[in-house]
Amino acid sequence: MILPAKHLKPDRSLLGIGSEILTELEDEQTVSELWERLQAARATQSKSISFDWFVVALSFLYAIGTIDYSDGIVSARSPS
Amino acid sequence: MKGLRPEIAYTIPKTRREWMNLSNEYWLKISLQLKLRQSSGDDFQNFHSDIMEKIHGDDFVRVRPFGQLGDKGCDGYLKSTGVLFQCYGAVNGDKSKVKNLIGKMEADFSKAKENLSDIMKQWYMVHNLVDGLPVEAIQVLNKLETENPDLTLGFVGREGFENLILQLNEEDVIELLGPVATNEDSRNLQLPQLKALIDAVVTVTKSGGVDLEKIGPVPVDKLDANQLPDYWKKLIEGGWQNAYIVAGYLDKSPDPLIGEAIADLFKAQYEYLKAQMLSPESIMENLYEFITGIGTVPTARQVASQALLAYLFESCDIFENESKAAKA
Repeated sequence: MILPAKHLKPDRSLLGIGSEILTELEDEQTVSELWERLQAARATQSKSISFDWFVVALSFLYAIGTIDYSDGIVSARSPS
Repeated sequence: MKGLRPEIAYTIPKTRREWMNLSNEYWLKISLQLKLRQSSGDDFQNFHSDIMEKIHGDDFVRVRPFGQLGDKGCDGYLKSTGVLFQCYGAVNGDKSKVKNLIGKMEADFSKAKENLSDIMKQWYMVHNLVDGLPVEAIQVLNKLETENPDLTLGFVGREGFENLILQLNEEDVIELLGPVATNEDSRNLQLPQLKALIDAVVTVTKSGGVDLEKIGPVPVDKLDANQLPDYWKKLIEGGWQNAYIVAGYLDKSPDPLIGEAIADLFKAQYEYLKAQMLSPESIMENLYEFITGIGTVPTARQVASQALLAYLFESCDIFENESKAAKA
């Protein structure tokens, strides 16, 4: 589910969605704001995903240390 | 009279009725084979009798599974030619119970010979072993032929049933086997039907545990390499026109993992069937039945199932790719 597979296109894999989330993430945003930005970006290409899958992608980004989450705010982690 | 064979032999001519074309003949063969697998015991005997009555009318005598004639080794009788039928319908066309089959052949023939020799000129064992008979059955038949040179003996199996069905009109075929899809139906795949089908399949999938595989091109000549019979090849080829619709539907599903889950399920099912040393034809039938379920299948569902099978075949989730099949 992280990487693309035969029946899982790159833009639906966690890696693909994660990269889109990082593109849409500006400074600090709430989860809801980030979700709306992502939906808007994907709507132009008719590629909607469920909120559940968005949350899994966020969890993936958090697990690999690319985002921080505190008090309901998501922010990009600066590379050390 | 000893040494003389009856002049009229029971043969099943292979003729195709006008309403039938190559496309629905393929669907018909699949429906028939599924019906044969799904019928056993009395159901199988009744199925054979239904067909024979439609073809021969009153010349065919239906015998109740119980009762006097049924106890005398007779499951059906064709008066004009003196052909006596004995039916053997194994559960799911399972030919592994050889002893049962051999025992029934010998016992029923003995009963018929003892009780019905005055009317019996020919004797045929009608069976539903679509994968073929075990060699022991042929040996028993040869032995019975040698011991009874006045009689004509034989088997009626899958091919015999196909030839019988081909003689029927469309209404009778639908009554016996259910509706049969056509090329026209294939060109009009119904999305709601596809959705219902995939939803039904997804309920049996397991979540998680997706194996990653190399995404490669579809091997050429995969149909030939897997030694599928012509009618299955034609059906899968026909399903390819709708495979992209299946791909599109899965791609837009709210669950991104649905495609992988379905692929895993069918891959596991294919490996399970392959491990049982079934023929490619039997494997494909079982996969088709796995999708459609048992019973009469509406044409729209037949077409959706064809599309799903073609999609899985094309994406190499079922059957062997060309190079692997060649090595086998």
